[in-house]
Amino acid sequence: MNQGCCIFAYDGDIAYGTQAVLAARLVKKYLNIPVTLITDEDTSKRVDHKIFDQVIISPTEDSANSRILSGQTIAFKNLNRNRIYDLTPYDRTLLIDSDFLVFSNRLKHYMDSNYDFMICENMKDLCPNRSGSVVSFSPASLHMLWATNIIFNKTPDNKILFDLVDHIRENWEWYGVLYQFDTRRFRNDYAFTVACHIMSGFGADQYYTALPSPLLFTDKDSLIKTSKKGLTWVTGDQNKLVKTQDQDIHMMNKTELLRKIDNFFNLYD
Amino acid sequence: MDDRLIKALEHADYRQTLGIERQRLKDKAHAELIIGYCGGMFTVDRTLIGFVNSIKEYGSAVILDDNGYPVAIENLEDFQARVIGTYFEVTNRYLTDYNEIKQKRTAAKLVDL
Repeated sequence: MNQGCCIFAYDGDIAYGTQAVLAARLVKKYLNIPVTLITDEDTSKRVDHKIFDQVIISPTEDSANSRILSGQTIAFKNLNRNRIYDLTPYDRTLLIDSDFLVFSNRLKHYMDSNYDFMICENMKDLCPNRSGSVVSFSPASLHMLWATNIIFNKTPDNKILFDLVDHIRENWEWYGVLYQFDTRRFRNDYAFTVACHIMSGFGADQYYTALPSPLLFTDKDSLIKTSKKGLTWVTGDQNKLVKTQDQDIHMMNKTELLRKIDNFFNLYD
Repeated sequence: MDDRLIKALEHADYRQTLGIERQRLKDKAHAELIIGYCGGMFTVDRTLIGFVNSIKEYGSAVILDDNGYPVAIENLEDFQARVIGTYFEVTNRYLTDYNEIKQKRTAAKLVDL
């Protein structure tokens, strides 16, 4: 069974392609598996292909999706994530967001396990006791899974799951009412959570196995130092100092990531 | 500002950062103690070490992994070596890191500034 990592990246207001180059470099360093970029023509032209084993062009429809980041409205394209099942060149795939930075070999253990479908249940916040990493749709609904990283095998059941995610996207408002989540923008996290719930027999069983929780950074935290000994951060709300080392990071502050990306590249050249 | 309060606030900053760093090291060690073996996922802890030690003489066994699924371990001796090796490696690193932060007496030093 061949295994590898796939990263989706479509440039928009944010240079996701550049983020993907860094994410791929870290995956190769710490997990030592091949990496495939899934992108569109425009992004592909802007991205250095050297780090990727394959680049797959898969245009995605222009999305009206947007999020607020550091006070600005940022457009992004995330509507074809479920197509990973058909696009991946690997039998066992690690799917990560382009802002997911691997700084440990922990996921390698999970790649080598027998579990067919694994997804993140939780994120650990950079600051203990700060809320934000545990998300529920509503008090009466589901605990959200994070589609930031997923490991899956090509199995008939998983094919059903990924097709179901597409169906949920197409009927977003309906599922929003049913599962009581905010439908103003499409979130893969929500779609995969609902899909896993349905695939589990509506909660009778558990479809997925949990992946380790990476550290979560909100869009307000800043990176103030990068070195071989670790990364030093100051948190946005309370100005707390935090140092991280050998821990995987979901860096949701994309503007900060791009501002400091040369520091990372210099560190890992 | 009153000097007494300035010193107390500096100390509060330090303790806050120390608390975060301690938690961070604990989370990291816990994550590193999870290993994959024969397709299953196992958290290495004192219970697992004791259990493996007590059944090692049988050579092979089915052991339930972290998710409660049965995993056939064909070579218990090799599994034991892996479990104990991981435990020593991770806890020794944890101790080194823990001792290092204990010696740092300011918030800035704790985060290498």
